[in-house]
Amino acid sequence: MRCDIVRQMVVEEGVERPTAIQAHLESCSDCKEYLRQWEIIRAGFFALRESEVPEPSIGFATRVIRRLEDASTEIQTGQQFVDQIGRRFVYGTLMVALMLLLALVIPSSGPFRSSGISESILAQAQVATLSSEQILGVDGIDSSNATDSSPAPTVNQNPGARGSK
Amino acid sequence: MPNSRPDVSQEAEWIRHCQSGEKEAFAPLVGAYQRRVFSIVFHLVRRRNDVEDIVQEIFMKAFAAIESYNFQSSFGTWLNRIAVNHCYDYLRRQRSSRVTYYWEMSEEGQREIESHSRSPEEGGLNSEEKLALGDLVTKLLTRAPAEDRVILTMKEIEDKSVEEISEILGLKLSTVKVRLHRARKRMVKDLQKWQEGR
Repeated sequence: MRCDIVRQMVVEEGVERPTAIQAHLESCSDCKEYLRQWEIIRAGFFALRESEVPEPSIGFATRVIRRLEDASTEIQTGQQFVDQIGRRFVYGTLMVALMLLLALVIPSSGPFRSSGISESILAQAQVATLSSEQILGVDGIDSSNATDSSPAPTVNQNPGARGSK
Repeated sequence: MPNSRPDVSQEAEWIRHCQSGEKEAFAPLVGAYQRRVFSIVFHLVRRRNDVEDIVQEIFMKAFAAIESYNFQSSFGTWLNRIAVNHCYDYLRRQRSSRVTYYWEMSEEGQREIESHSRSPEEGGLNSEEKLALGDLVTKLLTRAPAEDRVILTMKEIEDKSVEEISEILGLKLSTVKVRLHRARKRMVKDLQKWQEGR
């Protein structure tokens, strides 16, 4: 008989040991020792079985119910807090989203935007370029020399007209 | 508060009230089962000072989960399952934080245990020997994995049948038998290891 099977059977309480197991125990010192050890442990278990279990103190059930009520109040308070924070967070997010949407939807020029100023600065720069061209002439020749032989070209009489094109 | 088992129909009525959210209806159920839960918790945890807090937590958990109780098994078995699972988690947490082992104990401590572990004759043990052996087994149980501790406690201390254990733990009968055998073997091995290492 295998030692493992014998050991499984010998620890069972209230089971009469078959002769084969008894014979194995007499011949196998390891199994005999295993049984001896188990009997020590089982005696300890018996002792623990008899040990006095602590009694619930007076009003235990009432305390459990009170704790349940406290817990549900705490949960409610927690939920209210989360609700408030959550609501604020949602409002804040909506505001940011609205701002972004407005920034994208509103045209880049017009009464709601100040970017028209940059365009006027660009126009002024173009005017300045034209006036320098007027001084130098279209081909870059000094116009003061040209006045000797011919009158000033009529195209230069209205410098703003080129810039507006 | 009553501690005896209530009438089944009365118990069912309390449970239904609890399922509809009436906390007050839970009080008689706590009263009826508190001793039973105290016994399980004490035998599994073996910390007298912690038992009441743990039992309170178990009843809180039971109330929170009472909607899921479907009257298939008895309320006691259902409650036992919650208690055992809760203790199992507790023991696992305790084990991970525990560092004292037999072979790490002082010589004095080992000698003390040695004097306690004399081979006893069942029934013929005096109160001092019972205390000593109980202490030895408690220490062996404390060292055992939570799984072994739960199954051995239910079988050897709570004196539950293999069938009851399988119902509480939600395991097959054969699995319970295998685990029980493995747990006993480990415990004997642990005792031998300690005795060899003295």
